[in-house]
Amino acid sequence: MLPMVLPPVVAGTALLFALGRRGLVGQWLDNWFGVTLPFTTAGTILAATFVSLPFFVTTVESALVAQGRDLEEAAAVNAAGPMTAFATVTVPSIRAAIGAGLALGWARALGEFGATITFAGSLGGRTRTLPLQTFLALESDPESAVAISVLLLAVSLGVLVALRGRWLTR
Amino acid sequence: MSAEVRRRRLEPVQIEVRGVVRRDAFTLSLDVALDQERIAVVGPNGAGKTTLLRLIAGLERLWTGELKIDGQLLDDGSSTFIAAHQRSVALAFQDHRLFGHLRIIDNVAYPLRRAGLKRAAARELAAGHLASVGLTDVAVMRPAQLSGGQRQRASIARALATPAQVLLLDEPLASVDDQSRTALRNLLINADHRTVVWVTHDPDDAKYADSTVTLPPNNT
Repeated sequence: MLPMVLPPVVAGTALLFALGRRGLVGQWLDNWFGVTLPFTTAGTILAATFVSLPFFVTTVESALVAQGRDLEEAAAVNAAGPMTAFATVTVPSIRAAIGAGLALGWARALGEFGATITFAGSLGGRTRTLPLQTFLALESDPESAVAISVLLLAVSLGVLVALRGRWLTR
Repeated sequence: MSAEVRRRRLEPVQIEVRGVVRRDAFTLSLDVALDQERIAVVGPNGAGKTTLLRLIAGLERLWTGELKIDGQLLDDGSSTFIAAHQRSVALAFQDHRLFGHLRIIDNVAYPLRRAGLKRAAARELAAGHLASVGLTDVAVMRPAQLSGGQRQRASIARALATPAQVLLLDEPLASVDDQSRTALRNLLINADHRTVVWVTHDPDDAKYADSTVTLPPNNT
């Protein structure tokens, strides 16, 4: 849950110290596998995932808590082992929550700025996301900044409309 | 596999539960031997009727004591515990517990699929069980579209479909109408399971049993 309350720049700094070339884990990734994450497209995805994952986890977790163990017990007395029960009963019965969590997480990831610029920079064609492009365009090309902002606003509203049933029925 | 399930004739079993269940502030002592084919379990609220069924099914563990089915130790309150899915026991819950994401026919086919049947063969057998409880018309519906009584009948059909030696039913006729009650009673009494144990508050239902086990009030 930490990334949810952490300032994004701090999250990016933490990622840099953990997974940077000289980071705690990053130096081993670089030495053993030749994998470098900072300032790469993979790093951008990692930063966005790190920041948005709690939105998915909290949505799915609350669905699991609300559902309880009743259906797993029903599966068990119908000869389903724990893994089978998970795959055939648990996951399908919370698929709406999984979808909502993915949509929320994706929307959050799409708007991610601080962690991305700190961990992956703003390299055109490699790590520059739409929010980063908006920020840069504000000085040189305000019209395109507005256009991208409208696009991001439309996506946010789209997610809100798609999930309205979920929030209204709570 | 499908032929084996279809032809399977199940042998009589003896169930012995002697021990103590402890859950938070709830403590229950049980000393029960079930050795008939059709057994009704009666007793006041809180006597432990549902807990007894959950113990036999493997959904609860003994704190101390022993639970045996056909002489095989399934739970000794410590190191020995055979999990629910590994026991040859089916349970129809009082609150149905049908899988909301599956159609009624697939709910009933669920234990048959776990027994290894292909989807088509499992559905064919499930359709027969649904017909026996009078639910052919709602086979393609979801549980949420059914009434409480229909859901209970579907839950019974799912338990009947399970190729288990022991069939446990928690107040199976509580929310069904009088018309269905007689037919369901006959179905349970003639079920192709050697041991059928049902919890009931209705003296009429208990009359159909070979023996009635009365649990004393639990004052602990």
